[in-house]
Amino acid sequence: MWTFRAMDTDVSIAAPGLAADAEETLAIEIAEIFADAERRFTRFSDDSELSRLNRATGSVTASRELIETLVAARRHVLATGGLFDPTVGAALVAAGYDRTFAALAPGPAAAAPPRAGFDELVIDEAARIVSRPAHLLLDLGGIVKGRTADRAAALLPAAGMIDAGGDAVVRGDGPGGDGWEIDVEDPADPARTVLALRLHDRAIATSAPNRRRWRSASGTAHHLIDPRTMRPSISDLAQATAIAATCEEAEVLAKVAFLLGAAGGARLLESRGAAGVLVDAAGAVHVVGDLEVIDG
Amino acid sequence: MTELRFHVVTLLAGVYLLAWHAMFRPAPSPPQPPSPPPPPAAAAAREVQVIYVPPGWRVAGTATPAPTADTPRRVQPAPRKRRVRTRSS
Repeated sequence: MWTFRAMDTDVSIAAPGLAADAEETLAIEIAEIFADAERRFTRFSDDSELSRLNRATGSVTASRELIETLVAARRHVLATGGLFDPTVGAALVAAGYDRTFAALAPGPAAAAPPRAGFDELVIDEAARIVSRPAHLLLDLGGIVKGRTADRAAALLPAAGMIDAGGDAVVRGDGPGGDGWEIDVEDPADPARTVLALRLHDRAIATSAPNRRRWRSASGTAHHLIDPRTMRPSISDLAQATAIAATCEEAEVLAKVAFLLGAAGGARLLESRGAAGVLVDAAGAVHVVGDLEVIDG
Repeated sequence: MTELRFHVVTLLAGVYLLAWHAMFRPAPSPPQPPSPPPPPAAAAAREVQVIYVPPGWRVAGTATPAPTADTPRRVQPAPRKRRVRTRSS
């Protein structure tokens, strides 16, 4: 197994059927895919393409990767009635999340910015031109990590795994031959798990405010912004985990399920043919959909 | 008398040098068949042989610089784990 650092998290690669040198070569190739996506889409570097778009006062010509990501994001915005919306970048900045989480320091929180909507973004796919109103800032962090994991997973052999800080894609039957075993972390105590699952050829992602949480003048803030209020979400869930065919889909469903809360999140996952594990604020665990629970 | 001694010593030294050269000069090597010319890349590679590189320097023009202690590896080996842990990140 090989690890590297990308997107402010640890990424692990395993391909149990490969020789060590072939597995390392695969990991290096995947590390470059993550590094390329991070260079292009980070909010925390002035040189990234996303930062240039967020600074632009007029139309900008976008790369094929940025256009494809925006088109995918628009698909999720429409499918979730706007609950998934990467145009909440200004709300993240207003809440104090304006630098990498490791560099975050206590500071005043600004008032919630005006509601920005994805429909205000003008995307010309054919000409690859994008323009945005001044009050709209994009944050593509979640969807880019999911899409990057999916892109990297296309390089995996029949049995392999990519774990990008808890968002994972598994292929084949795992090291034991009967599926990949996945521990779902307890949001109240990261040293514990709420249950364990067995997955084959699926992707999994988890959203919770327990790790990216900080204090500001207006109280505790976190990174899960509710587009309806442009404020950190107040949910009756402590954590939402979604299991889907792709990591991009799982990432979006986990985030939106968290915003919807226990009842709405379960309905969303069922309506999309996905599965999930929802942990409510009281610590109760709700398993949604057809999942092989092996422990818990 | 002194001048005569000087000439005798010079003469003896000359004889000694000639005898030394005759005894210890390398024997002529047998004729070698002509070797084929090296391929251009090999010839270029032999043009300069670097036998010492000061600390902190590296040889320019090599294909890929070897990783050094100062160059972090892009990926690191990790103990194989049997389970994946999903969490918010």
